[in-house]
Amino acid sequence: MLSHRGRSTAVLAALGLAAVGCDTPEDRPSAWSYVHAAIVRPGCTTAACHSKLGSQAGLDLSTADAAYAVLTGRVCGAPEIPGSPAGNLVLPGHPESSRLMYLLRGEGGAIMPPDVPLPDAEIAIVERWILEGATCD
Amino acid sequence: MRLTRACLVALAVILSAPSRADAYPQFQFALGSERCSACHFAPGGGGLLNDFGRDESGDTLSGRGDGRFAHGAVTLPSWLALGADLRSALVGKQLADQEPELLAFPMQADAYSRITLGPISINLTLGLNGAARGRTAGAAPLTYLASRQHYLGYESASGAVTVRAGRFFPVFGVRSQDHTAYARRYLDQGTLEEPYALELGVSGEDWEGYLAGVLGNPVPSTGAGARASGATAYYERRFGASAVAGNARLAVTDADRKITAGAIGKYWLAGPGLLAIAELDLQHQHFTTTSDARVQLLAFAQLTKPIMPGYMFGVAFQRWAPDLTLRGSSRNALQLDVQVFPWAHVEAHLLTRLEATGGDTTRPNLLALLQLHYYL
Repeated sequence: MLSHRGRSTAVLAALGLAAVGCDTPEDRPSAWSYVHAAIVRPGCTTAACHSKLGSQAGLDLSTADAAYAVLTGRVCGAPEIPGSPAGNLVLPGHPESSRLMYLLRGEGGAIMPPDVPLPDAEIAIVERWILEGATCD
Repeated sequence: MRLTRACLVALAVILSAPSRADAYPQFQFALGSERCSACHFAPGGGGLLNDFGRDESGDTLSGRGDGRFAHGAVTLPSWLALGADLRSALVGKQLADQEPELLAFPMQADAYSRITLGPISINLTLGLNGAARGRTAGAAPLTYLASRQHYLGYESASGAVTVRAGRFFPVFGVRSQDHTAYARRYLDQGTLEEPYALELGVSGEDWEGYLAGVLGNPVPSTGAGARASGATAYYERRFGASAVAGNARLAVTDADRKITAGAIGKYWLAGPGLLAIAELDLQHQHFTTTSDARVQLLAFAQLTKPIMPGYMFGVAFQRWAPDLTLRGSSRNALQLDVQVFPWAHVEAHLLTRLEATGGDTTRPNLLALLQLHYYL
């Protein structure tokens, strides 16, 4: 049985270890519902940016369905239509050709989000979602 | 080139989003007032200054000028309080490997009114939407305006009981006026994320507590769109010139459920004249559709040195870990603040921030934000 001090130390140690982080992006789901709720919504949909109100560059990413349609050119749940989405933002299966990846990494001049870029770990999750077909799951 | 220009516009839009004119938590204890409501009408601080707050802004803070509405040129009836905030900004930034950028823009234009009818007050804020300049052609004129706060308030004769109903941020966290602070951006207190809420506040000699039920903004065009519904709780206990507080929150959307627990500490070191403020929050986020979950952490620690009248210097550390166990997902920032209050109604604030994203300290992001602030 740990003493009170022992328990406190254990909790602090666990917090310290957790703060370092040991999981990799492969340990996270690549489902769109997760990608949107965990990365797109908190990172991109602030009021002045890609919220319904802001819709900068005409992009409303505020809901999972709206964001999916904007990024992939497909309607979530509807049969897929062959062809590239507008602006080539996301080409399912091809992160190397998806403009979204260039924007997130700031390759080619612009970077998104423009004030606080996403960490590589989150970009890797987005990349895996595209690589695995960018499905609306 | 087109992308770079778009990026600059986007950055300007983000930083120009109207920040609520919140309480400056650095003033608590440091300037002699023990609670936010000493200077603000709102029980948890923020928004319009009351008569004492206006006097303090002219006397203690600036040492010169008349802090009253319109510099004392207009005397309002006792049942009416008016005010306004205007901010412009000059921003320099360099993100990792990107080219440095410099831009200037108007940042905030908000007007405030408060009508008091006995214990009841009607509080209304109306201003320009920060996204207005980036709006696509043909947008409805009304979407250029934003009302961040509009609520009915009740305050008992002693001031010990308050009730608010409407749109506002319930009392939670350190409530910084800096809308880029992690504690605001990542804990759903960002620009125009004010929810609709019903809040009960009760205070005693050396404590105050708040409970609120929150309805995620049901009118998407008024702000950041549908946000979380749930509840918040905040309790603060003061011990002389220091305070400890705890807060908790439940926030539910159609995609996730967050449960937050946090602690805040404020300690005034009278000897060196330093105010220490710290906040630590742990948040459990459960994703409804995938049944996954993650633990998030927000940490904030700040040392402030006021040299009154006229100057305030601060150094702060911020950490946001959106997924504690995911390696390389956190961001840490070291921030320096220099604030100058040359005379009543005027503030210049230089914020510089060095930020490491994903634990990579070799390619930090650098942000310098100079705000010129005038309030009526």
